Amino acid sequence: MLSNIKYHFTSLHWCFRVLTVLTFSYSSLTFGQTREQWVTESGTKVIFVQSVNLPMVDIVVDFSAGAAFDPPGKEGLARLTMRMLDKGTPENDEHAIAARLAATGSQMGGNFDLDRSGVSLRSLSYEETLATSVRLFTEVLSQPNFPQSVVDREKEALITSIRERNTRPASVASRALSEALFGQHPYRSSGAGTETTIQSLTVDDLVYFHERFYRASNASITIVGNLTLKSAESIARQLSENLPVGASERESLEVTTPVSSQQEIVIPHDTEQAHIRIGMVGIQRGDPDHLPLVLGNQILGGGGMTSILYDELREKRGMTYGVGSYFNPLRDPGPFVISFQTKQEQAWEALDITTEILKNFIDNGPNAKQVDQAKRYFIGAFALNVDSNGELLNYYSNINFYDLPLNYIDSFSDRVTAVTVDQIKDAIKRRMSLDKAVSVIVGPTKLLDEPNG
Amino acid sequence: MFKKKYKNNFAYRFTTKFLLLVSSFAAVLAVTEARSEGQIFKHRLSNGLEIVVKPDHRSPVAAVMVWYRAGSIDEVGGTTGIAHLLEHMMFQGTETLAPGEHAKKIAATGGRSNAFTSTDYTGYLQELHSSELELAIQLEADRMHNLLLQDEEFNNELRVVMEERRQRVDDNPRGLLMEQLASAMYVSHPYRNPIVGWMNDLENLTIQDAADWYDRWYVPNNAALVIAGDVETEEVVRLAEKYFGVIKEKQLPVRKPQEEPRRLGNRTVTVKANTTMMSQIRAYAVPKLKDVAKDWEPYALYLLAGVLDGHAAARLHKRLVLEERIAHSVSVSYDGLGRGPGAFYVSYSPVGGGKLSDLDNSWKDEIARLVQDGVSETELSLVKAQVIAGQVFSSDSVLGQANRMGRMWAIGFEPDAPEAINEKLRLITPEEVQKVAAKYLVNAETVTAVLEPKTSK
Repeated sequence: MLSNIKYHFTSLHWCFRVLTVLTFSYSSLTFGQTREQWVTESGTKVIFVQSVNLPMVDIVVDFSAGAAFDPPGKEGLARLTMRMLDKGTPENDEHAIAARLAATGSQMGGNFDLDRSGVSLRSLSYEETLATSVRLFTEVLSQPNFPQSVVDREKEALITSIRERNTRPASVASRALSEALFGQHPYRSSGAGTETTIQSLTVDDLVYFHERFYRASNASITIVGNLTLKSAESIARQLSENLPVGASERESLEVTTPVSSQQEIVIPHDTEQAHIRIGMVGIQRGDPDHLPLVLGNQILGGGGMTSILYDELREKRGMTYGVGSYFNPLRDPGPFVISFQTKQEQAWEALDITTEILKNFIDNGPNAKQVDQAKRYFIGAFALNVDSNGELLNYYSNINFYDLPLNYIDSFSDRVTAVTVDQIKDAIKRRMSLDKAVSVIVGPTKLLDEPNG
Repeated sequence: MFKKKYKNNFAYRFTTKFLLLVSSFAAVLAVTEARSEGQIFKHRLSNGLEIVVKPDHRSPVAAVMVWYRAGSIDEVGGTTGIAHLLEHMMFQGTETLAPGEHAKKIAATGGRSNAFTSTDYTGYLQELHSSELELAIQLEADRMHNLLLQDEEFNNELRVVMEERRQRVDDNPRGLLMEQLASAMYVSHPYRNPIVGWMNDLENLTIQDAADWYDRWYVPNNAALVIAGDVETEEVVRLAEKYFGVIKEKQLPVRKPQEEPRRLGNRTVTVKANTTMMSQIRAYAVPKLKDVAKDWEPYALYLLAGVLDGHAAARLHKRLVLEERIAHSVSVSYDGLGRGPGAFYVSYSPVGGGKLSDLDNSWKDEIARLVQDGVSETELSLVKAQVIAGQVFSSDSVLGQANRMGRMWAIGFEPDAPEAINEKLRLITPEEVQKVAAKYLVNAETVTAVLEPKTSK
């Protein structure tokens, strides 16, 4: 359920074993359906998209309450708050909540990132099932009571996970990169916290965080599925009016624009493969350079089996199984990251090749043919991004949370078509530079091309 | 999985569950009630190629898959990993396409392509706009009989696969644990070998091994074209005839059963790895599903796993994690859909400072309690509620629908078997769940793999 490590994917399955040829893929945007947008009396923004083909309903409530809102020294508070939501209310303890949810067949999940705590419900749309599920969902969002003994247990679990994560080279690399890129900006922390900060969290902290951040005016509700506008309105009202009341503004971060500067961080680690990241501070939501840059990234490392990085590192040199790059646009500028792993012996060679590719890409940009292919991909992939309720929910919740225009989706093709090669080159030149690139190499202890290395 | 921005999908989760194509055995009961278009259409070409189509006109997209009934289970001595390597080579060019061009042609339409190899089968997929149906069919047919295996590409993919092995297994404590467990579970059956292959076997694979594998298994009478989405069945059949129809049928090699001899006692294997957490997975030998209509034990075993760990209120999680607080995590699963033997798994890790033996005792006690007192109707209904809702939820994606049908075909069932399976699940009684617990989880010969932190060098 909300301890999203395990119950995020709760569903029974026969297990089986599979390997894939490819490890990642790109996503873009979507087009319109029957939909409405409004604000509840309690001040919560709502988007409803009707989709009647399957008897199911998806709801997500996103709070501006991500890792970036952890008070200094209390890193981990936002995440623990979300994890504790379904662990007890005045009416139901955690066992009762779990049993009631199970009886409906519904699933609750959590989606936590730097900007938001997102809590979701997937339910069958049959009237009674949906009503029961929504009642329970409302209860856990609005009245968690954070029983001390359960809080202690969950803190222990988080600390165990932190210790384990510290042994994983991928986690070590990601953390080192974030800290180097974001300096004192709150995006430096993933919100996992440290043993010390988790240990320091109290029930009072949780009560405070919930009161302040799970407010109606700090939330956005997105609903997709087989229900009428009337029942969507009623569900949104019910969710919204039960949330804590407080200031009418949304929470925002204090403005400190992070600036990264060039550095190379080497962290020895006992592994077969070196984990390599190259990153820089990228773009924010609504940034005018957003589309040119993500098109550029599609060409550089975003395009599954078709990108430059994939071609050079995997297809030509067999150096890695998975390599890719992405921009993560957030409320404030989020990271741009290139990421891959390769056996330790060739770590520096691979880093040099990648840096050279990046330098060349920044200096010269993509050519007209590459841009044309990327644009055709974006436009063609359009339909694939609305082919399920789950994806509709994902896209509309982003639009809702980040205050993007509702027609953001409908105008997508036109906007992609309008982007020129020069715009992409120009955006890359202005926004990307090796001078602010941070490289992280987790694995090898020394330069392995040294004699006897 | 495809819609997440650059997300490495390497997580071997507990037991052998796999995130990518998490199929429950969902059919589409609630859906077929509402929509006649949910019918599954089947057809066989004269060369033996099976065609399975499920029209779904919600969006103008189609999932086009080709499944081959060939996986690591079919590999013979010294060539482990060849099924998976050949899967990689299927993207490396044909007589008319350059290496990588298949994926580029699909991407040029905005589509996505990928592939996967399991113990039991190898599958290829395209997810694309339904107006590009012909392109996908044409490309799949082309590589079914015109694959060009070239030294340079072969050697390169071999290096890629070795990196994949390092990433998934050698640097992944959970991956190591699962690999060692499988090897300890099977003395004779080929499930003992990892899909990705042993490193030394990879080092010694040759292009001839790849060619032999391709010649042997990549034939129409060992394959199925499976499509879900915004398509018409007549059009699919016409295009399949046009492109696959020209490929010749071939005699398939004899598949040896390689049945696993009976276990004579418990086995335990220990894996030391770079981790802070102890954990353990234990496997019980149980029947797999063979006859959808007549079997009942596999259904009862599936629900038994659900009673123990199918939702947040289920017995084992509640007791070990929430109440006694001796487990950091627990997981129970039943692997009963496959070409090889079935297995029932329980896996747990103790909380910091805790002991595995305490968890073992609680687990044994929990099973004893279940065998003694049985399961209530209400408790079983909670698990069935997950099954019923899961059917609907899993119809949300066309790729998921195609995957389910293809997988059923690949392991020897009808593509629409999930519907019948769900009906059978609903009929299972608490007594039947109790019976399989008593029969298979008590006094059983088990195989256990224990993960221990490596002491620092």
